[in-house]
Amino acid sequence: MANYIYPAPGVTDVEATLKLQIQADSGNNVLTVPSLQDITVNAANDTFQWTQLDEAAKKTIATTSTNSLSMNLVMNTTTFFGTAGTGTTATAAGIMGMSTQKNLVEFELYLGDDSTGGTASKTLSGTGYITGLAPTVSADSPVWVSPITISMDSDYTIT
Amino acid sequence: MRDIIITYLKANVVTGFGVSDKLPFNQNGEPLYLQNLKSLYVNQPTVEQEPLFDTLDAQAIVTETTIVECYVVTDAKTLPSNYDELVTAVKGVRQAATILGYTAKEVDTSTSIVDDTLVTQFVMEFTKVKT
Repeated sequence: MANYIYPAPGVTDVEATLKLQIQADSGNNVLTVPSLQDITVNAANDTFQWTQLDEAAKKTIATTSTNSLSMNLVMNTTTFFGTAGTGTTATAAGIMGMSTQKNLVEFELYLGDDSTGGTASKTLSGTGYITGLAPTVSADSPVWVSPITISMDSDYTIT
Repeated sequence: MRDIIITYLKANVVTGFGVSDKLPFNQNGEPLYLQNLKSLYVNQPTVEQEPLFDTLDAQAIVTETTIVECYVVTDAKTLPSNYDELVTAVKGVRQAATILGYTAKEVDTSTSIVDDTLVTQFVMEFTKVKT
């Protein structure tokens, strides 16, 4: 069977997992983000194009990449607002706190296991800023949910 | 839920009507409400769940709807003068102060004729989120 990556929700080492920590935190306190609904990994290379008289097609070179992670999550009080709402650690500040404090955040996104089982899957990591929080609730959908984007200032590291 | 509704109905039932504590079971081949006119019978609730949010770590969140059916039978030839008042009172269960925490409440009413009686059925639905 092909080596597809298909995370199994709720299964340790097989579910997709996102971990965050504030880069300046020497204690490496990690916040595992729960209740993610979806994750999109964006790696968009910018390009520079030009034409020249001896070519029928445009020439292109890749320049810099705009990288980001986009997700939607169901809000969990403890992780979204942190244990203190502010602070120098990820669990104290929470997602909202790290956004308002404009902390540079290190992330690790474990993609989930592949079809062979075990812990063979890949992890994407990098640094960025938490942006795009927009919590919403409605009578038809009476649980708070929010989009979240990590706008990266680095390349992805794949391990 | 059934007990709460019965308590509400007993406190708000209109003159000439009653509220039974019994389930509307069949006795001698027909349900109790066809044998005891002008008495409200409340059935046992049924519960339905539908996915609201599925998450990657399996914290599946659902909406849970509790459905309670209630019956009352009246003479079809001569409808009680306060029938409309009764229907309004039963529909008022939506606003019962003791039914809290639900994001959607609705009461649907339908009628049918059985022999010379009018069977009025109320379907009460209460929806809330379960994690």
